[in-house]
Amino acid sequence: MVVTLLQTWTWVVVAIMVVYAFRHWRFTWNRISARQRPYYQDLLDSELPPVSIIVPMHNEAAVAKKLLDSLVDSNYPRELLDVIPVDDQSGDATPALVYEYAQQYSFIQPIYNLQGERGKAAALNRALSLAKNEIVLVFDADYTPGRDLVRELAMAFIDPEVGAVMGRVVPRNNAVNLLTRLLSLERSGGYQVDQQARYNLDLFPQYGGTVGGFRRSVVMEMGGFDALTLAEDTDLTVRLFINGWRVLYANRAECYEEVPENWNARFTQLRRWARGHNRAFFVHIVPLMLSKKLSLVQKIDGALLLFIYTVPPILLSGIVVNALLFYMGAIPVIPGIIFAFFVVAYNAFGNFAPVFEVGAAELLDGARERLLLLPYLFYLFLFNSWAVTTGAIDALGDFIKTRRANWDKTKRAGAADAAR
Amino acid sequence: MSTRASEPNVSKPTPSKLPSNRGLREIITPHRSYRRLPVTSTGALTTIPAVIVVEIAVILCAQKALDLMSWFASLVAANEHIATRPFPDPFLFVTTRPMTFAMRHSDWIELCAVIVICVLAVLALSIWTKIAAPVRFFINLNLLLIAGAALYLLLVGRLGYDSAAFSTLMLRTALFTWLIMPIFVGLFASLFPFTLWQRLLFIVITVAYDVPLSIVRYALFVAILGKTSSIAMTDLYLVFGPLLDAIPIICFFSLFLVQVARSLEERRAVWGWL
Repeated sequence: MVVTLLQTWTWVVVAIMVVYAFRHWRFTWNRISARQRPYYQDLLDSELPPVSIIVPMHNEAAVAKKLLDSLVDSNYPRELLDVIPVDDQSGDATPALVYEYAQQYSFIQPIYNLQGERGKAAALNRALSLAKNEIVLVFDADYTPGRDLVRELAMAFIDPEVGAVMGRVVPRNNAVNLLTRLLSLERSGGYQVDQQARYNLDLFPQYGGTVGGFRRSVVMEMGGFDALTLAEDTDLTVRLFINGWRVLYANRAECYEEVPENWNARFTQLRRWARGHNRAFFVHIVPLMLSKKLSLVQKIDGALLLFIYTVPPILLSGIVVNALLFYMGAIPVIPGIIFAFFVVAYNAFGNFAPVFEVGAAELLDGARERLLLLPYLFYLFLFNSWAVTTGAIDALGDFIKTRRANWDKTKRAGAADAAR
Repeated sequence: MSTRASEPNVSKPTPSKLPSNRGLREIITPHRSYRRLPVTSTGALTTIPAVIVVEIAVILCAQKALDLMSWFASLVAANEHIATRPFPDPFLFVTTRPMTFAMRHSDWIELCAVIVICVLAVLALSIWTKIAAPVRFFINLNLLLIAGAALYLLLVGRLGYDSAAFSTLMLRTALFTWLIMPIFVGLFASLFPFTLWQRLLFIVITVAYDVPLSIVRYALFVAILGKTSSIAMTDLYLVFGPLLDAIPIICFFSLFLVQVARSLEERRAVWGWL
C-alpha cells in the first residue's frame, strides 16, 4: 500500500514535469519561430501621458543615486513627470540622499515613512494616495532605467484596455561571479522567451513590480495593494486578469538591475518570492478558475504560473520518495529516469526557465560564450529548490494563520559595484 | 562641351521603381527584442527520423553494450578480489547479465556511527558557510541519503536491494536510459536551427557518450559496494545514477548551441524581424 502510494506520487511528479515541459517547449518554439506580437513603442506621434514614478526604498543608499540620476536624465518631459521616492524607515543615508535630490529637482517629491506599516506593498499604497497621475510606473531602487524607458512603458496605456505593463529586466552586474552569471541566464530565459511568448500567445504575461506600471484608478478601485503579501506584483497581475484587464510585456523596454552577488542574498530573495507567490496561489487560484473574463487557456496558463513556486517542493518530495522507494527496493525505473532528466533540464526556478528556454534566449540575445555556462545551471538546482521550499512552507503558515510576513530585503552590493 | 554637360543624364537612367529596402533589413541586425531564429516546422520535423535512426541503433547495439557492461564490471571486481556470480536476466528484447557480488555486512555500531557522523557533518556544513551554498547543499544531500540508508538498515535490517537486485536495476536503468535519451535530446534539438546532420550528431553523441559512462560507472559501483557495504547504494544510484546521465546532455547541448551562435553571427541576415 505504502509502496503503491509512493510510486504513484513519483508518477504524479513526472506528470507535472511533463506538463511544464510541454508548456515551456511551446513558449520556446513560439518565441524563436513565430511572428512576434508588436508592442506600442512605435506610436511615436502619440501624445505622452503624465506619469507618476514610485520608487520604494529601504536602506538603498548604495544604489539609489544611480536610479535617481537615471530618472533625472530621462528624456521624458519633466513637466509630465512626478517622481515619488518612498523612504521606508531606512537606517542608512537614503533619506538624506532623497532629500538632496528633492531640493535640486522639483519633480522629485519624496515621502518619508518614519513609523507605521513597512514593506513594499505598504509603501506603494502610501505613494498611490499622493500620486498625481493616472499612469504609475514602479522601479526598484537598484534599477537603472535607460533614457527612453519611461516613454516606452507609458505608451502602452494609450490602449484603454491595458491595466499594467512590464519591461524586461537585464542584470548589469552579470560579470561579477558565477552566481550573477547564472542569474543573468535565468533572467534571459524568463523574459526574452517566457514573458514574450506569453505576450505573443495572449496568455498570462506577468507584471513583475520592478520595471513596469499600472493604472492608478484601477488599483485604487481594487483596494490598493494587499499589505499581507510579499508578491504584490503577482497579486496585482492576477487581480487585473480576473477583472478583465490586459497585462502587457514590453521586451524592448529594457531596464538594468543589480542581481544578488552572494548566496545568502539570493536565498533570502528566492525565499521571499516563493513566500509571496505561493500566498498569491492560495488566495487567487479559485477566483482565477471561476473568472468569467478569461478564456480556458488563459485560466490554465494562469494556474500554471501561480503553481510555479510549488513545483520545487514537489521535486524535492520526488527525491525523498525515490530514496524511500530505493530503501524499500521498489524504485520504478522509467519514471525515475524521466524524473532525473527533468531535474537536470528544469534547473532554474527563479522564473522557472528550463535549460532549452535559456539557450534560446541567449541565442536571441546574441550571446556565444555564455552558452557554455548552461550546464552550470544544474549547480543551482538544490539551492533553488530548498530556498523555494522554505518560502512555500512560510507561505502555507502565513495563509493558515493569516499572519503578516516580514519583508526580508535583498542586500545590495551597490557600494562594492561603485568601487569596482 | 555640350556633350559633356549632357553626360550625367545619359549615365543615370530614371529608375522604373523605387529601390527595395530589403537590403537594409539584411544589413541592419534587428534589436534582440525583435529577433527570431531561422527555424521551420519542416526543419524541426527532421528530428523525428534522426531520433528513429538512433533508437534503431540503440536496439541493435544494446545487447553488446550491456554484455560489455557486465564483462567490464566482472573484470574490475576480479581485480579488486570481489567474488561475483553472473546470471541471465531476459528483459525486453535483450538478455542482461547481472551478477551477485560479495558485500560486507554493517553491524549496528557501524550504522550508528555513520548516522552520527553524517548528521554532525550536515550540521557543520550548515554553520560553516565558507563553501558556496550549492556545494554544501549537494554534500548535504549525499550525507542525508547515506544517513537515511543507515537508519533504514538499523530499523529494518536490510535494504530492499541486495547485490543481485541492484545489479539488475543498474543494467535495466542503463537500457532504459539509452532508449529514453534520444527522445529527450530530440525534444531539445527540434527547437533550434540545427542542420539534419547536426541534429543526428547531437543525439548520437549524447547516447554514444552515455554507453562508456554507464560501463565505467557500473564497474565502479560494484567495486565501491564490494569494498564497503550497502549503506552507499542509495546515494550511488540516486545521485550518480540517471542524474549523472542527464548532465552530459546539457553539456553537449551548450556546445552545439555555441556552433549555432557562431553561424548566426556569420550570417546576420538570417535573423528574422518580429
